[in-house]
Amino acid sequence: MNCDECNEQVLELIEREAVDRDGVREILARCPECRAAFDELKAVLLAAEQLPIEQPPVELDATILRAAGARVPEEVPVKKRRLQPAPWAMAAIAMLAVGVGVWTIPQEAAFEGDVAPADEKHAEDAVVAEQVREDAEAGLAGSLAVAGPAPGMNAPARAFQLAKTEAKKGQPEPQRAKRRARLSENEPRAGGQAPAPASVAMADGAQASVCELKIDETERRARADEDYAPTPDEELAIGKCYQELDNVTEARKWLERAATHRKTKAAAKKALRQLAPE
Amino acid sequence: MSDLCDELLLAAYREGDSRAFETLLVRYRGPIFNFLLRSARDRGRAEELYQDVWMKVIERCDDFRGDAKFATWLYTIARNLCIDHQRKMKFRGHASLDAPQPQSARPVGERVASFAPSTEELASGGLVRERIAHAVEELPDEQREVFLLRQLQGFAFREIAGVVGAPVNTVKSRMRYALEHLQHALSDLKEPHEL
Repeated sequence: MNCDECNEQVLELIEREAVDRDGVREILARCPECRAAFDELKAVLLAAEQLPIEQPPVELDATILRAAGARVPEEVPVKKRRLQPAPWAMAAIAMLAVGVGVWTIPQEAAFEGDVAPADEKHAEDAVVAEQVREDAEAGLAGSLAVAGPAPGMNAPARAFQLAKTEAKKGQPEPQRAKRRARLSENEPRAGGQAPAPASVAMADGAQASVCELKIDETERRARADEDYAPTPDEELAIGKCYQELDNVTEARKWLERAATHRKTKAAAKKALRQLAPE
Repeated sequence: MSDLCDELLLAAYREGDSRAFETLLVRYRGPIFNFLLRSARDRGRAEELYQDVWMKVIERCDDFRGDAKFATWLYTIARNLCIDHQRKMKFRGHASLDAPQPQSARPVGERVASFAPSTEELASGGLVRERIAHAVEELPDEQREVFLLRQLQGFAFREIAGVVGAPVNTVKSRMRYALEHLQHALSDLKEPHEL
């Protein structure tokens, strides 16, 4: 350390903030000029300590204390946010809603390109059949009681169908309206095409149980073609039909088959859970 | 209560404990008043500023977030009020009371009653203290505030830098210049015992 560096740190040494105390002290010990500068600075600081210290008026302090005492502590407002979901929760709900929405879109509409042309009609039929079935349940099937059960339906099934139709008549109007609205929403999702003519006939007439017809149709196809195998959607639809008819054994069989396919696994398992134990 | 740190006392006051505020006032009343007195160079104005400072503390205590020390926050308020006061004085075109008046050879400060040293003070070395006080008040604003923060409150240079908003090295330079000014102003007090 030289004299210039020492002078730079003299003040810090006096103020006890010197970086190199020992270095400054060493210079001060051997350099009279540096020592003189140090002494002068110290003398000024010593003099500055004699700066008169005055006190504020006590009355002024009393006034201030009165003002301080009069201050009302700021009340922390009840957090309204507690009544509202946190932003992360809102985001999670939104994501969930989108997820549920995507999941509920009919597979044909969502994965139109994935469906093989040969299966397309079957898949469409299954969706339309499902819609018609719900429509029929919603009220149109009321005419079933008037028109009588479908030909070829066995006696217990017919009796059950009649009882079921009667029960549906008692369904509250809002619920039925809701269902109709849901069906009308589903129409464009089925590809914007008109339903298959056979299904339209069924819907118009609603003279027979769609479920029964669906089951009959499957049996007819199986008889006509030994290699016929229902599509996963058909398996699911048939399973649900049996479920509607309370034929638990058949329903379980078809639903379990549907549950083996990735496409219908979730819906089938859901239906299986709702199935009454045998 | 008195052994609590400033920040805890302020927090207690925010919750409604007036005694905590009183403790803070007792702790800082002297240093703050003298800082204002030497900055404003007028006792009456210093008293007004003193009251304003504490009123600001009362008003803004909820704004204190604890990012800095309470003392730093308090002196920042005091300094800002001093700066405002000095601006107003400049705007109003007030002449210094120490400046000679056109109609009189003597400055106003010498013609009006003031807290000038009394005979007893002169006899007991009060003159020296008044000389020192006058020398401090004559320092340029930037040097004076650094000097006062160091002398009255014992702030480290780093803390002073926080109050005045300048780099630490600038603060050190201002302190050095302030001491040189004082050395020059008090050079006639040669006798060591007078210092």
